[in-house]
Amino acid sequence: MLFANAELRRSKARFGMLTVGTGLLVFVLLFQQALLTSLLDGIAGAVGHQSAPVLVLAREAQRSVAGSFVPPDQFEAVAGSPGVADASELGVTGLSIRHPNSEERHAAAVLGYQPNRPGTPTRLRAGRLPEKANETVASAEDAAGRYKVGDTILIDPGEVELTVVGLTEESRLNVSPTLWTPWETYEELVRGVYPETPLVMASAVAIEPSPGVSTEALIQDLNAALPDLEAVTREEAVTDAPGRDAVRYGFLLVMGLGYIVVAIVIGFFFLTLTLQKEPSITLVRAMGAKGGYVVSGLVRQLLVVILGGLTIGSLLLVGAESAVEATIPITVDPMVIVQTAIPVMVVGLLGIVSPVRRVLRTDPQAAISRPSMGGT
Amino acid sequence: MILTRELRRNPRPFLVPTGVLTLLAVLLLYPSAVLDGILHGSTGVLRTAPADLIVYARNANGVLILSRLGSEERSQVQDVEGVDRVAAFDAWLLGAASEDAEGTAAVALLSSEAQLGSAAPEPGEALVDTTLREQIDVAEGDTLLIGPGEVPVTVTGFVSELNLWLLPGVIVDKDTWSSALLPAGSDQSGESSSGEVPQDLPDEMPEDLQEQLGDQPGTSDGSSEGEEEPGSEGSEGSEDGTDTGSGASGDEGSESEEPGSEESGESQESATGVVGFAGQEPSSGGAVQEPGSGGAPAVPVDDDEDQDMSQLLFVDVDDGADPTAVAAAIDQATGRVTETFTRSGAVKAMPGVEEQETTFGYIRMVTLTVALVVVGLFLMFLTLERTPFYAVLKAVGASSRQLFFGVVAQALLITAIAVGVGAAATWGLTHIPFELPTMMQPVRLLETLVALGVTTVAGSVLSLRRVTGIDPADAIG
Repeated sequence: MLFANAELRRSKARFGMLTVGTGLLVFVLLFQQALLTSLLDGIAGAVGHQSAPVLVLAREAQRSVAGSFVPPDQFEAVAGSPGVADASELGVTGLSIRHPNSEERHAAAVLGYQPNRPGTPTRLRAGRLPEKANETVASAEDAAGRYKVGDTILIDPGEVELTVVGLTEESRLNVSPTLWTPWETYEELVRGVYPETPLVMASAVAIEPSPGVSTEALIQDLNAALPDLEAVTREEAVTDAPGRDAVRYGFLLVMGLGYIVVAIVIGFFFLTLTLQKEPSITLVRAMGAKGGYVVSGLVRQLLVVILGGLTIGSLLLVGAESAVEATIPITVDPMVIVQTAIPVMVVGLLGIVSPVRRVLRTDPQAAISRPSMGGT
Repeated sequence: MILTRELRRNPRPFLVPTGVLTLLAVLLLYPSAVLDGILHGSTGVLRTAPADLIVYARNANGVLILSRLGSEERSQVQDVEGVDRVAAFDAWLLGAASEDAEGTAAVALLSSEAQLGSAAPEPGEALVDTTLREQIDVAEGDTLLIGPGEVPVTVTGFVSELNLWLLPGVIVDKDTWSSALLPAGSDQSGESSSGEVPQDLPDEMPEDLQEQLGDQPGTSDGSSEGEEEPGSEGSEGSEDGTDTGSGASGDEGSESEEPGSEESGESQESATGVVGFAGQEPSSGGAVQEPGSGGAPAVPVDDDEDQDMSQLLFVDVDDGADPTAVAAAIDQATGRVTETFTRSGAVKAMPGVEEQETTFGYIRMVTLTVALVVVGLFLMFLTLERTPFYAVLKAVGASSRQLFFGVVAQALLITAIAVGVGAAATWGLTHIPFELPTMMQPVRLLETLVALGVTTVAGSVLSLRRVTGIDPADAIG
């Protein structure tokens, strides 16, 4: 490894720049991945992290929970269907939240559910679930600068006061601050907007299947019996949420381009370095070093660059997390860093294929035939 | 210039940096195309509104679907100095189907006293945004069935840039708009105007509706919560026709003969219909969206006392008046019940707009920083490789300044080529059917060209020291 280490010491500036460049590219990839995770979770995470394995929506809503409503007669039909152990309301609406002493409002998704029944949020990070009216749990990802456990917040229109008794995680809806509140409070909130409303309908029916009844069989039976409604698993309600796939593909495309840039930048650097060092490499080989020795030196240098780049990129992501949290909450997840490191390593290795081939093609004889070595 | 001629004579060394710059250009242009596509598809009506100012209810926080303004606010706005004309605007999300073709689509049903598009539609007519044709087969003269009650409207023409919430806009007159929001089975005769209930309603609630309200959700243990407000569940099976001052359920069998509310002392005149949103939520994932109306009878039609409610007011100001000053005066005149925006302000106030622009801004900033470092690296290496060539040029009399500007010129030329190719590649990507709205705008291309050009020049500075330090004697040696 003497040769590789000597190269690293002698060309600190070049390797330093490459490491910084790689670090920035890795940061872009990590940031986009964190953003994508936040967006995908934020679209319908709330639906995926509630206690009902089966949800029944209006068929016309095309699996959009927020766009669905279930009239009372259909609700009763679902609740009375064979295989349904319990059925309760899940309502979704959009309102604004603000601090009592502030005029600044933030758009929020509000979900109404029946406590301790299907549809109860399952990802509590802090505090407790609501136990009485006018209590709420709110998304922890959006808490910074807006609310914390114990705070009172106002819901507009209507200026209804709610007490935040807990914070949820991975339970957002519509990529916005998300509040869960008992159904009676939800009704009050909706009536704050529409005072004439006599009847607040559920957006979905949250179902617990009877013991021994599989979700698949229940879904099949419900869909056959109630053509105006559509029963789905909670996982399907998340993955089929409108726009989710489109966002994912768009981001993956951009990230794919980012990986290609990493491969080209690293490959170009090492190829240029190899070309410049070709006489030295030839000499080293003429002295008896095997091709594998030089190649392993290249790989070592690559590892130094990539590990350095990953470190820089991760540190930048940590800094970015606090910088953007008020706008869009992202999380530094070590698993994501590992998941990014692997393809970065792979594309880096692909990038040095060309210089490796060049090294292996080096003819030690060329060292002897050089005029400066006495050749002709 | 000799160095730019070098690009033509021997382009090989420049292919890789050009390729990388092209990829970086795509990394800048494609997310911008996505952002612009989402914003344009979500805000068309507001961006092109025939108004200088748009007035919301303040407690709606810029959310159109939550805003409600009555006749009192309207007259207050009308009386403000500098206001020329006030027009009501309403919008809702509904499903639409072509009478003759398969498939349904979610649409934004619009109604405006100020003319949107080429002509104001008559009752039973509709102007439709061109993007609806991408979803269902519809042509001029066709009939669309709108809303849960399948109100028929004849398509009289197509317009562009009248979408909202990523949905195609369908523009109708106010009567048709109100009718379309009524539940299936309601009276669609068109006699009802602005949501007013026909006068020949029964005094008592229909039995089936009474039963439903007795078993309604929210009291799924069967008991009433004992609410006494109008519309309170008649869990006892109200026998005196009380309880509801307004609309019924979305039940097919129910009629819109809303019974009176004894509490309010009114009867049969409130007309809040229960409406189901039967369409698709605007594409989310950070897309601009209005919070869903699901779960609530959410029609902002006229209530018992105010026959002139609307969601927004479009305001034209007098010639020569300052719109910003008039906006402030409007909000003051209404006691800050309203929040008045310019058109661009209204777009920015829509939930998600600012967050998306900020997020994409971060991505652009970081990508440009990456470009700076990467370009600097490449130019440095290119300079290293061509040191002997520069030495020869210096030996024959070229100054360091000339060499440096030559390097900069090469960098700018490479950038221009890269942005051109990148734009073409981005255009291709926007045509991949991801169902993600995209729109390429010339201003973004210019922004990217300038930004990458600046970063390239800045990157060139990194090789400045080496270029200027070349010893012409090296050429001889």
